Amino acid sequence: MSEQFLALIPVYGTPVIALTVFLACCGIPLPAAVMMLLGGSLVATGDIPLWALFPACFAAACSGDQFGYWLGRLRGTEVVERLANRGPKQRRLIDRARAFLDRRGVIAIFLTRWLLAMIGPYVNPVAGAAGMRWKSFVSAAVPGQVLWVGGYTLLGYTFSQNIIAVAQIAGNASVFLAAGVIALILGRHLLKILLRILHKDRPRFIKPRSRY
Amino acid sequence: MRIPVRALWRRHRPLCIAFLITALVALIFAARFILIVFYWHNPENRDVDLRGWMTLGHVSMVYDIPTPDLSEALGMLPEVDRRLTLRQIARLKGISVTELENQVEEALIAHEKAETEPDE
Repeated sequence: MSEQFLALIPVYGTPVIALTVFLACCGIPLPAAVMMLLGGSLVATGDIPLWALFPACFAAACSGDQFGYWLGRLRGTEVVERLANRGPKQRRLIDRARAFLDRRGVIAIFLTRWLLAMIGPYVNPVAGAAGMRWKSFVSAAVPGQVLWVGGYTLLGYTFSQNIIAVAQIAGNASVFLAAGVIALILGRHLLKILLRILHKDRPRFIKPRSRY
Repeated sequence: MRIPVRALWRRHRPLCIAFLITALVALIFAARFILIVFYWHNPENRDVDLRGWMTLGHVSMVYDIPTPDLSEALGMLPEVDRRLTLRQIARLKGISVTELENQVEEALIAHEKAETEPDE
């Protein structure tokens, strides 16, 4: 958390916060959460009007999501097709990703807006490239951003006395949640493979190891 | 029954490495989270240091002192913009941020004294 950066906020106010949120949602690693906390605390001290802060941040977050989604959809679809044409293994992987997006895409997009906000910006291009429908994307992303933007500004407003503490606690909690969920998903996958090895019914496409 | 960890490691190395790294990161940040909650839970650490990015309004809210009183104590007009940061004020006055912080602290102590002593 750089002091120079934080010093910009009271001077330039809402535009700087909104710009940071937009860039962060596009995938540039900037401390958008801390900025929104500080913004919320400035609302509490009466230095920034809430009617300016919340809509600006909300609009910025949603535009950032749209940027990522359309980047994936317009530029990434080709890449995905090329990958799928490389072989049956790749094709199966992509089919599985698409099936997952169909089944769980909405909830995944929703949760990666606020609870797992760390990985949100990187999920957007993937959703776009994998052909998630725009309507489903928006219907999940917009409520998620209401929670994310609203949550942090409200936290900053409520705990304006000590936003440094809130920033540190929320920062660590969000990294823990993001890493923890990814570790759980990978662990579950590993466990499945392990069980398959234990039960000896190995899939046929694995070649037997050659003897030397 | 032996768990075929080695087979898992040999056949799915990237997956194993990714799992170990994310699990490690999760553990580290869980520990940091707990430590920080305990740190701020301790009343000794509750007092917030003055920082260059804090505005006059922020300082006056945190330390519970009216903004005009604070700006007057710092030798400025009471109706000065409360959105000025401590760094900006220091620059305007041509002093360093640390010097200004000392002035603010003195002002806060003076204000506290005035509050506790009843008016005649």
